[in-house]
Amino acid sequence: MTSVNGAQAFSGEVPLSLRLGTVIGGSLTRGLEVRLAPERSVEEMAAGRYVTIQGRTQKFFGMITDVELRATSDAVLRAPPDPDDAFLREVLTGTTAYAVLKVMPLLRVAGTADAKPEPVKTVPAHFSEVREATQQEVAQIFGDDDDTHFVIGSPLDMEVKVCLSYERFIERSNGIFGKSGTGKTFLTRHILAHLIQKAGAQRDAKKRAVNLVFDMHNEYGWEGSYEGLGGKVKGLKPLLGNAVVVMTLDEDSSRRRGVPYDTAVTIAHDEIEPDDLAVLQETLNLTQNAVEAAQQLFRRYGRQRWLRATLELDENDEDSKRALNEMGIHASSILNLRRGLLRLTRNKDFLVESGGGRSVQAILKHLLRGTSVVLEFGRYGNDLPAYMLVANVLTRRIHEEYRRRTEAAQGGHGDDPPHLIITIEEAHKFLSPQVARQTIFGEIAREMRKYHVTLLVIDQRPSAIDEEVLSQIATKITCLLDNEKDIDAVLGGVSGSRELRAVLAKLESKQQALILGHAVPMPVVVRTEEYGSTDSYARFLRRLGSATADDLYRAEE
Amino acid sequence: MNEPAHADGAGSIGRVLEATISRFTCVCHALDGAPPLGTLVLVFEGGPAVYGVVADIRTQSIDPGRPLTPRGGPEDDRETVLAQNPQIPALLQTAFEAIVVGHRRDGGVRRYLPDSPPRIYARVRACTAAETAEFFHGFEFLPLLLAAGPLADQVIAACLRRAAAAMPAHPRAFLVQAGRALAHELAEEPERLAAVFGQIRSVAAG
Repeated sequence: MTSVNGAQAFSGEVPLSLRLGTVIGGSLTRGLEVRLAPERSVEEMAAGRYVTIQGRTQKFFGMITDVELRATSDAVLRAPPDPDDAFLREVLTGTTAYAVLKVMPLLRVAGTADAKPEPVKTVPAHFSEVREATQQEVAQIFGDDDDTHFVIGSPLDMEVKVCLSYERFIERSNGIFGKSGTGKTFLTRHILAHLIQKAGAQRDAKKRAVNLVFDMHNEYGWEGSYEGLGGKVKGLKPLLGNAVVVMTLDEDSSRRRGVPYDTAVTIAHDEIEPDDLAVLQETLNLTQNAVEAAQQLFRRYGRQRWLRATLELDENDEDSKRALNEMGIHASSILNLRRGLLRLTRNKDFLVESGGGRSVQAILKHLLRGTSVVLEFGRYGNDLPAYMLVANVLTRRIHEEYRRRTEAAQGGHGDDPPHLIITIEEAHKFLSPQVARQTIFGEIAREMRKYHVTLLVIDQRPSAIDEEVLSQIATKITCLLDNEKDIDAVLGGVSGSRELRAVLAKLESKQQALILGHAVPMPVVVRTEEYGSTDSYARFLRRLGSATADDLYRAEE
Repeated sequence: MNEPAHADGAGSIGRVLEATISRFTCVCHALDGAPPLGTLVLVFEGGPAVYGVVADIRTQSIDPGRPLTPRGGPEDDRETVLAQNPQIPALLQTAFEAIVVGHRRDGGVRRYLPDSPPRIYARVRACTAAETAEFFHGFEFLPLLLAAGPLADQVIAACLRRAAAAMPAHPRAFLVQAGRALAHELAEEPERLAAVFGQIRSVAAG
């Protein structure tokens, strides 16, 4: 039996097994409606899966975003077939009662052989045939794993690889989102490893990006933890060797964990500015007056002494009282400020009185040579104010240097510094609407890559990130989010966001991510590449394609 | 063009004695010689072959002016009455009415009305299983049967049951396909649909 009725006859070219149905309506903005072919079961469908729509003159690619049950007439719904009547159910399913797939058109490819995928500007005609996208079609769109693309995972139910464009990824700031326990860290490690690897493969020095990772929980340097079996996976250093240096903020922790480090990073008192406190205002429970007081104190005592002086102020001491009066600082403000500063500085071995700038110079030296830096926080990782302070202080100084060098290069003196990607976790703390305007991170996100610095933000609460900053995040890699606000935040300003919501909310809690934005030609849901098994390392190192990598791998075993 | 098979008359069950574009009456060669309700028959001479589905069967007096009168007493069974009146069968004829559901043209099946009605005195035969299977590859003829009058649903059910029997390999798959085509036609009349399905379900279950 080749056809059921005139309307349901199919063209001979497409294998019946791939045919999904027929376009019956929709729009460019709301997505297409596709009537599911009667021989296909609605239960096989999955939101997030790719389809190909054969228009008259061009081919369209789209993503299933929703599945809906409908009936041609209400009568059959008023008198539905008996559940035991398998025959009647089979007959009615797909005819009187049928399923509609909502498909968001994403790309189109003109009919010619060498045509490149382009964004859609129209929809396929009525009754265009819709079928599952083949592996080759998807592979063609996402490109091959080459010098400028790296594998991030596979689309749902497909074996082909989805690649991110390295060049586009480093061009702008990017974000990795997802609630805790969804595999953000694994994904980040995977991406960082490939960014560093691809940077090494670039012939053009201008395209070699370096990374600075503020590694809150010691996940990226030597080894990372793994919830579940085994517990340990390799970090970036064992996989990438000399392309990475690991620094530490906590020598004790590094020694305890038995991991070597290149430099122990310290922060000197004179490197801390009142602006750094502004960022910490919320985290340290500082009042606005306290932050303003810090600025006064900074002006009065100078960069070298202001922190020590503030900590030593005693509001019962007459000299101190006089000084505070002169500055017009209220006693409660100074109490509040001091309490915050004490919390910030107490038991911080990395805080030193003097010698500021040494660590920044050490980091810069590596970065400018093209070596990525992972800064492990050791025990301070659980101390959010410490993490924010260090990330803020170091980034501010590094950014200053980058700005200086970039401007010099524009003036014809020296070269541009290598493109820098700074990875921060708990990003919403740095980029919340209250502080995004003041922090260096907000500035970096907004100025785009003017000074060759971009961010890779990792966060579980994207809704807490300033809207303007979020809108500058070019590629969003999103694991499962279930908070409505967070989903809104990630999809804000994305075309077809209403449809993508359904996809995002239905991700599995592990190893699945929705990727959208600059570095992919169309939004894609991927099963992320597995990371952590011997196979995965071997695969990665094979991609490195060098004998040294193989040697390195063996050495590690 | 025309159906060459059986041109020698083998399998012929009767002749067309009355024809319109949508139905024809065939008088059988033999008394009670009509094919069962719902059978696919073929007018195989006198122009393009025309397919019909048996929709009504009647046996009556040859001379409409002389209707049969009751014979025999209450105690006589049918055999006895016929034995006492051996002339009766000669006074009777069996005729069936068929709904036109398609025709053949250019060597293929067309499941819609022909250009002209079957010719009077053209011979008619029942379709073979292979011909039946060939015809029921498509269901574009369903509207013709659905419009066939008060018994249409009975006729369709009978027709589908018989067609399923001609496809021993996959009668159920056939009935599902047919059912879907029918559901498409009767989308606004689910009660009617259910009534037809009620009559073919037992076949489908088997």
